Amino acid sequence: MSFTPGTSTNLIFSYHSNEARFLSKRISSHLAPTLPSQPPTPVSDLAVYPFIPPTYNLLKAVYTRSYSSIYNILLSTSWSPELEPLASTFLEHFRRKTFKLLSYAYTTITPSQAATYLGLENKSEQVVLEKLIAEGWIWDGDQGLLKTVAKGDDDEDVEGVISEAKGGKDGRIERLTGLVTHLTEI
Amino acid sequence: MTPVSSDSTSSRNRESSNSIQPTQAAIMALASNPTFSVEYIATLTANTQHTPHILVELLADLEASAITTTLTQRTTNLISTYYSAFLLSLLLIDDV
Repeated sequence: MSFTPGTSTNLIFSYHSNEARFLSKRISSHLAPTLPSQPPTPVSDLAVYPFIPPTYNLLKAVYTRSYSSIYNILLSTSWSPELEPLASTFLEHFRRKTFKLLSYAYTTITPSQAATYLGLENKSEQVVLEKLIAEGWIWDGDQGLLKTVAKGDDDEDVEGVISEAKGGKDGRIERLTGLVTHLTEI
Repeated sequence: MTPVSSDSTSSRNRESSNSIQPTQAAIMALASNPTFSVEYIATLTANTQHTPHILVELLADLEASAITTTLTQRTTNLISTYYSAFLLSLLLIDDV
């Protein structure tokens, strides 16, 4: 596998999920009140509220960039009719954005790695190849690698993400917010 | 009894009802509790005209109602739906 110069070996997502983390704290204080001497009930354990644990676990997976967990939660949860539109939209856009970032960050990638990043782990290699070739990637059977192709219209979408990750002004705000979030957890 | 398009409801409620025809049960529920109900949340999440930012704004407006809702077996689904929709919407802001 090879990488284009100047990019990280990890995919970079600049999710502004701190607002969601703050909300999860408010959820915890609302739904899991305990005596001061007791540790608070984790939001992920609030099983009486059926969709809060999977949504909270999704937030954690996004924050830790656990791709397998993100797709597993989105695809294995039986979302209610009220939540299904949001879960479906998130899955679609997350997959699309990840594909664009893969096209930017990698020059070549194995089918199994692409499947992990795109939530296609339960698909056969043939199906994964067909999907990605249909998106313009090129299969090199001799090396067993997919050659990515970054489309011109992807650049603008990915540029902002990379800029923030490298410390653009929005990135600084993001890091500051992250620090405050971290301090509230101590 | 009037659905959410009544003049007495907010402009955002009117916006949310534009592309959705609520069921009679939903209309009844909205009339008795025009804001914080599963039916209202359903109209918000099903409305494809809403951007994630608008959706978050609309859901944030309901947080005071959520916090003051008595936690009982009857309100479990409402609270679960509300907070889950709010979290998913915040994640969507990052992704769309």
